[in-house]
Amino acid sequence: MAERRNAGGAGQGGFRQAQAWLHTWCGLWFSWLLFAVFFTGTLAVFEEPISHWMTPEHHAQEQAQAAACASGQRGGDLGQRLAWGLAYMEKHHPGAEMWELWPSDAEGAGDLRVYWFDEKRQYASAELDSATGQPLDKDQSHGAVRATKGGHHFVDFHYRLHAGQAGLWVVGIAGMAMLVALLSGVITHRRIFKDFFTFRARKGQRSWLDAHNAVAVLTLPFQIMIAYTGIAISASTLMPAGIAVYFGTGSQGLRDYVVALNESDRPAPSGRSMAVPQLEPFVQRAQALMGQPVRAVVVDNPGDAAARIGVYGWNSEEEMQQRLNPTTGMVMFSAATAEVLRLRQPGEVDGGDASMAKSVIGSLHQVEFGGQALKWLYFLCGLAGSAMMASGAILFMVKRRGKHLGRQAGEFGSATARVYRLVEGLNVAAIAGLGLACIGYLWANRLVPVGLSHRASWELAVFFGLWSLALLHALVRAPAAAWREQLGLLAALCLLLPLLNWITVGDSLPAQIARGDWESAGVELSAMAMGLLAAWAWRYLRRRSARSQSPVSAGKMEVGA
Amino acid sequence: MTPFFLRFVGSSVLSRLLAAVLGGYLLASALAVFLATVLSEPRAEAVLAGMLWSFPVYLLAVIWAFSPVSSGRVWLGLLLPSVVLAGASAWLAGGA
Repeated sequence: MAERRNAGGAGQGGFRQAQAWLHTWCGLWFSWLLFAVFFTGTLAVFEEPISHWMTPEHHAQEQAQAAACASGQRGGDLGQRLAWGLAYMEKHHPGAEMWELWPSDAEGAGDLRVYWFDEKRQYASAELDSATGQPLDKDQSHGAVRATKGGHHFVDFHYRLHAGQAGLWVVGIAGMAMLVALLSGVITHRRIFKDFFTFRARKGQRSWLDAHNAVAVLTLPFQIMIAYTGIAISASTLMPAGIAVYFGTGSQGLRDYVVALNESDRPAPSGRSMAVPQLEPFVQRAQALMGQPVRAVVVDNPGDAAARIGVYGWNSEEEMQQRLNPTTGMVMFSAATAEVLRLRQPGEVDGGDASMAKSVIGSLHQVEFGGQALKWLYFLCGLAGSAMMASGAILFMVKRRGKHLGRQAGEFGSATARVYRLVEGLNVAAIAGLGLACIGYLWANRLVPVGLSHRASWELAVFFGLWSLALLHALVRAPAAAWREQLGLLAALCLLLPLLNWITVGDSLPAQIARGDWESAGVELSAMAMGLLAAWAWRYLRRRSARSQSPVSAGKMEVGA
Repeated sequence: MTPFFLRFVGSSVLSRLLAAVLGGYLLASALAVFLATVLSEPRAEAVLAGMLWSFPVYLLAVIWAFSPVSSGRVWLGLLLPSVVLAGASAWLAGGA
């Protein structure tokens, strides 16, 4: 296969051969970025446990809340919470075009939060004390609680690289390239079912090819699904032609499109003023109509006679075991007449089939259904996808080591040796180096001083800083040494994470398990599992380099590294 | 062997790459607009459906652009349907 691939060019040879060329080059040039997107996206499945681990100051508070809830102390009741929220909005944000109250969790306990659109049409929020209704000072905990982006860093990085709209485009293009690589890979590959069961260990290039095929083929439906849904979620940014033609360009066009899609019945302000009525009766009626406890109450045009009150429900975990579409129940009332304008049962969508498809696509990508078991399945499939990209990138080099390097002109002309060197370095930095950046981010969470200003940005700086250092190191050191050293460090940082936590915060893995804090324990155990994997790879490379230095087995270098 | 950059241009990789990336995107956009025009659902729904279908078409266009056909035919095969779809959309939207 290697020979066939290298012989072809763009659109050269037979169809399969041409696709092999496309697979090799499209796969190679995007593999590093895709690996980073995929690996961080895999971690993003467990955004919440990671955030939990990264905010140890909140653990006591969460436990106190759970205990208070269990003993029946849950702050104000629903009517009280709604009244407090309304009073806060009337006093502080009377001119906002939208108020949104999140009175409690599904059990009627938990936090009381309010949201609104500020002057710049940005979402703004405040938290009120659920026992007194007084606004909580956002900065009251400054200096006591570590500021962090937590697990959301991985979410944001995996879909827009912390670079806003530009990052979204880069990731979108990479996602499209992934689909191209997947489809051209399938076309290239004759024996798709046989390779399910094929793995030839310790055969150098063969093993890498088998591994690449096995992880890709076994999880192929997942890989196609996750790439397509990832692109489709951002469709209105990435493929705006239809919106531009029928709703106009720019943010105004997008806004009009979203209104037409979800809220074609949105009333215009009448200009006559009318105070927002007490919300509890609306909420009680809505809960009965949709059969779900209240999650959010949205007031459009508050203070106007044309005000509208939307009540949204909470999905229960059992419900999300039953269906793919995560939309909750919703009841829309006219504030003036209290008449029901619209009723949406849980699992229905406001629009038609396309809206339903969009909703399910979002749920499929973000695994909003199926509970904990499915999250683990996504995590494993995500790791398999990362392994597919990593093994593909490594395979590219393994094939070429020792083959062209000695000749004058390879596939990149006189630059061949330099390009191969660059690819080797990028492989190390993109795979082992990204691992270092991720685990380093968790280390930074424990080591950056708690009171530091812009602390959350410092954690990010450690992530990107470590990654850059890893790239530098990979370009300076010989590839085999760079692999060994970065994998060794990665293993150490992963395996020592529980120790770091114990030393800096005083929380140990046995203590987490004893008190049933499986979110924290899960993060540390998963990190240790990754550490063991890195340690195994490190040991394997060390042994092989020791072997290859002895004169007898030097010939094996060619197939290995 | 010719230097890399000569081979790159000579084998029309650049032409194919541009056809795949830009021509494919144009075709996908034209299809999105066409579906937004002809589907009987409310306009916003039809626009959404068009967007969701456009990505598989983009994918197939890229795959085809790198298949063993001459790059001239690739360009023609991507631009012609784009123009037809866009023209049909304009005609249908104008007539409606």
